[in-house]
Formats: sequence, C-alpha cells, structure tokens
Amino acid sequence: MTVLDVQNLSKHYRRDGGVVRVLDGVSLSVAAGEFVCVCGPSGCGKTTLLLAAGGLLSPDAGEVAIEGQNPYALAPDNRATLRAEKIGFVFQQFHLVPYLNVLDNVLVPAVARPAEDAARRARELVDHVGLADRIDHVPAELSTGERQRVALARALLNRPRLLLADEPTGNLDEASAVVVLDYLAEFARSGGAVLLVTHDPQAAKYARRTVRMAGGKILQEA
Amino acid sequence: MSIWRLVIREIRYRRLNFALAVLSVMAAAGCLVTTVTLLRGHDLRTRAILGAREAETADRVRERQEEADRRAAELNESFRKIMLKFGYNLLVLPAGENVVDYQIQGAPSQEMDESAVRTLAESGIMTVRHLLPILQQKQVLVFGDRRQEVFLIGTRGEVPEGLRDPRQPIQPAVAPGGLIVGQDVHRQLGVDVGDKVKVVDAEFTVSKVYEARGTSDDSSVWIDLAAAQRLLGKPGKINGILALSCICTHAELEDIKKEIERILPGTQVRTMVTSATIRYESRVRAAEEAEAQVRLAREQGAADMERERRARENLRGQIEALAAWVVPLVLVAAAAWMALLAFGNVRERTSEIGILRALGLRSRQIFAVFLARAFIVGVAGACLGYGAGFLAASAWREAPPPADLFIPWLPAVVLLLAPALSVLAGWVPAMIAAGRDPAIVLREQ
Repeated sequence: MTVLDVQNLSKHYRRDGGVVRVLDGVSLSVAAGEFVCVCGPSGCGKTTLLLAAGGLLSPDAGEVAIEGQNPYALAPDNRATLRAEKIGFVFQQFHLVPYLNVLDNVLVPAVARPAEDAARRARELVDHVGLADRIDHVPAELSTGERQRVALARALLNRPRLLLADEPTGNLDEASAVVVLDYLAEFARSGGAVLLVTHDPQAAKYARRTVRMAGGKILQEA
Repeated sequence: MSIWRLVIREIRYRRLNFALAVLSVMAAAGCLVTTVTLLRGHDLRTRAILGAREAETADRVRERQEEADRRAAELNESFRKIMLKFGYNLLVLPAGENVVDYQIQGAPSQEMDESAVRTLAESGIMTVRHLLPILQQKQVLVFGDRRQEVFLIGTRGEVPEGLRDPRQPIQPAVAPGGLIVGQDVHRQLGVDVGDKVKVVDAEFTVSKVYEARGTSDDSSVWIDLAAAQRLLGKPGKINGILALSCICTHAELEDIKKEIERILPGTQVRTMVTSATIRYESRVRAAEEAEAQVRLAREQGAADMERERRARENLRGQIEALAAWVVPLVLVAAAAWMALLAFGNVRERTSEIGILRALGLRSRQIFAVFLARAFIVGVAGACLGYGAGFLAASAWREAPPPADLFIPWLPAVVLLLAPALSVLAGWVPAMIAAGRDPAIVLREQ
C-alpha cells in the first residue's frame, strides 16, 4: 500500500533577481514497510522534496498524496492535523524544545493531537530509544546522539504512517548514526514508510530503495 | 502535554525575558495604582483636614459661646447682687395724689394713715423686702443766716415684714433731734455734722451727711417721722411708703402693684427707679456682643475652611494634571517595551515555532502559546504592580492608614487592565509567530 505518492513535483525559488528551480518534475512513491533513501549533494533539492512531501511546502506544480490525501487541497488547520496524525519528522538539527526535558519533548506532538495514552507511550518510546535514565534531562544535558534519539521518539509518538528524515545522521558520530538508522529501519519493518534524504552513502545501506538526485531531478533509482 | 505546560516551562527557561516583561507591566500597573491611591489618600487627607478645621471652628465657636455665656452670667450675677440690694423700688401713694403734681413738686400733697405700713407688713406679701414710711414736704432749712428750700422727709427707718425675721434697715432711722442732710444741701449751705439747723422753728443737730446720689435725695434732709408729723401738724399721717428691693422680674411688677393696691385700698403704686430696664438692656447688649463674637468665630472658621478646601482642590488638580500625562506615557512606554520583548521572544523561538508547526500544531495554537505567555506576564505584573504601587502610596508621609487607602475596585481593574495591556502588546508578535512559515524556518535551519 502506497503511503506517500509524489508526482511531477516542481518548485522554484526567486533568489538574487533570478529563479532557482529546486525541484523539477520529481515523482516518487513510498509504500508501507518501505525504507527509501534519497541521496544527493547539497542543494540538489532533497530537503525541499522532503518538506513538500510532508505538507509543509506547497509545490508550484505536481501532486502529493499521503495515503491518498493531498495535503495542499486541505485547509491549513486540516493540513496540520494530517501532519500530526500521519507524519513524523526527524531533522539534522534535532529541533528539540530547549526548555523541555526528554519526556516532555517526546510529548510535544500530543499538544497537536491529544491522546489519553500519550504519556505512557512517550515513556515507552524513551525507554525504547535507551534514554530511560535521561528522561528528566533537558536537551543541553544530552549528547548529539541522544538528542537525535529523542527527536526520533518524538516523531513516533502519534504512531505516524510516514517518517520523513532529513539528514538525521549528519551531526552524529558513526556509532550514533548506526543506532538512529537501525531505529528507522525498525520502523519500516514494523509497517511504516520511511523517506530518508541524506548525502551520507552509509545511510543508503539501510534502505530498501535508494534514489539519487541532482539539480532538482531524480537521476536514477536502485 | 498542554499549551499551558509549554508556556510555564518556557517562562522558567527564559526567566530574564519574563522578568523584564513583568517589570514593565509592574511599572505601568504600579504607576496607575500609586496615582489612584495617592489621589484617594489626598481626598481622605483633605476630608480629615477639613474635618479638623470644622472641629476647630466648632470648638472656637463653643469657646466663644461659653465665654459669652460666662460673661453674661457674670453680668447677670452682678445685676442680681445689685438688685438684691436695690431691687425694684415702688412708691405707695394715696389714691388721691395727682402724680403729675407729684412729679412737678417733688413731694406728695395727700396723706394716708401711718397704720397702712403695718397693714402691708403683716399682709404676708413675700415680694417686698423693705417698707419705709415717709412724710415728705418742701420746707426751708435755716443754717445761721442762710436759708434753703429742701425736701423734708420724716422717716422712722424700715418696718420689718411681719412674717419674717427683722433685718438690717435699708434706711437708717434718724434719732430724735437729729437730722441727715443730702450732699447738695451740705454743699449749698455749708452745713456739716454737728451743726445746728432750724426747720419750721425747730432746731436739729446734723448727725450725718450722705454721699452724692445723683437724685432728689441730694436736695433732701431727713428727720425722725414722729418729729416731722409734729412739726408739720400731721400726727399719725404719712404721705408715702417706699417699698424697696422688690424680689420680682420686670414682668411681675404690675401684678405686685395690683396686689399692694388690693392690700391697701385707697392707694396707688408707682415704680420709682429704672434699674430693671438697665438690667434688661445690659442683658440684650451682652447677648448681642456674644452673638457677634460667635458669628465672627463662625465666619472666620468658614473662611479658613474654604481657603483650605481651595488649596487642597488646587493641589489635587495639579496631581491629576501630572497623572494625566505621566500615567498614559508610562502605559505606552510599558506596552512598547513589552512588545519589543515579545518580538525578541518570537525571534529567539523561531526554530521552536517551526518544529511545533511541523509536528502538527495549528497556527492558532502557536498564537495561543504566545498570548498565554503575555497574559501570565500581565497577571504577574498586575499583582506585583498593585502591591508595589500600594506600598509606594502608603509610604507617603501624609498617607492615611492602609485600610483606609484601599480601594476595593482597584485590584480588579488592575487585574483586568494589566493583562489586557500585555496581551495587546503581545498581539502583533504572536500573530507574526503564528504566521511563520515552518518550511522557511526549517530549511533555513
């Protein structure tokens, strides 16, 4: 079953009086249980593709469907709800809330989509990513690897169907990167869909499918 | 996890920003509270000052009144004592006496029986203290080769009232063969005590010279009544009874006259002296003077109060005028400062806003996060500002007790106004935060 379906996606930015075409007719789909890696050099459009796929960046042309639903056809509030319910994000910079401890950071998605078992599930996720003993620590007290594991747990709180990861290992050492990639692979094995964008060739080894991008286009798929 | 938890944690994390924002609300609220409370304190102080001034005036009026009353009482007492000696003096004359002739001649022309004195004395009339029978007639007094017409008055001193104890005679009796002369007679003829004088060929020895009285007494001489009756050929007769020192008020005088005329039919009673009128006039004058003093005290007090009230009103006007531009200025400055801090807070939390939006928070939830923070800033600032403002107003050296300074509606107003101001100042920054495009934020990061 296709979780993410992107067809002929195009996006351009105006910069310094000119037009930069970041995405140029990109098409891609990720099925449930599939781990897809998009590789390419910096500036090739990977992050723009991920943001557009996540319903955060409206494309100039093309279609995005998340489990058959086009987020850009929805009102902004409904689009936000769609993100809260079906998509999890992991970023290179972690984007943890600095004043919240590990548990509260994991619980942030519950503000958007309250659930009775949110606190219990958050504890389970913290435990699952091996941070039970750091549950009361704030991000400043964690290593970069630990912070990314917190971000991963946060992305999984609302049981998303799609996990979008933007260079999640970019700031990590090799051991930490392996741990994070293992979790992503585990999510895919459990039936989730993972779209990982990275320029780290090592990450591609964990993906079932690897797509190479350059100049806003998909060059090849392996 | 809830928006409130997010807000509270953020406030604890960014204490300085929060404290500065609270401080600005506190300054605005404190300024407002201090001004309003000071104005109330001023009003209370004004009321107290005017009340004290009113009390002072009342005291002064009371003192003047008491002083006037005391003086009137003293005057009254003096007159009472005087009137105890003199009272109202009445003259009982035979009914046939022509009073016009009597006034012109200075002596009665008709007689009545001397027994009338005893009758009156034994009648039990309580208001007449002294009874003096007289036989009076114009006669020539001869001293050596000098002659002088005088009022010859025969008297035997006081006849005590029948039912009372005998008392000191008001008019001393003249010893037989003796003669008392009035002051003018003494001066005119040069007679003195021990001199021999003649009246109707009878010789008398001057036994006493009266001090000047300013009345017809100064032109009179007194001899024993029996001698006078003999001398004038009118034994057992008198032509007047002096009823002296009547104990009564002016209003009762006519009743006493009628009572005497009832006891002594065939007589008429005349008032001899006007001391009662003098007494009455004196009382009126004393009362008028007292009233003038009291009125003056009242007018002075009222003028003082009016002057004080105007001065206080003028001072209040100055405070209000100052507050009219200081308070709005402080409010605007505080609002601007809060808005700046809120903008800084939004800028600082750009990344956080981006990830919250990416995680599914709606823009109005982001808006609520920032407005809730502004609301808490407002409530905290209101509480602290009210306390600080009230303390500042209480520290005023003329401030009434804090319980009196307390204005029941002011805390509620501050508690509504300060959060409203804070929310208003944070509105635009919150809108900017809510409108942030998460894609731009996350891509830039």
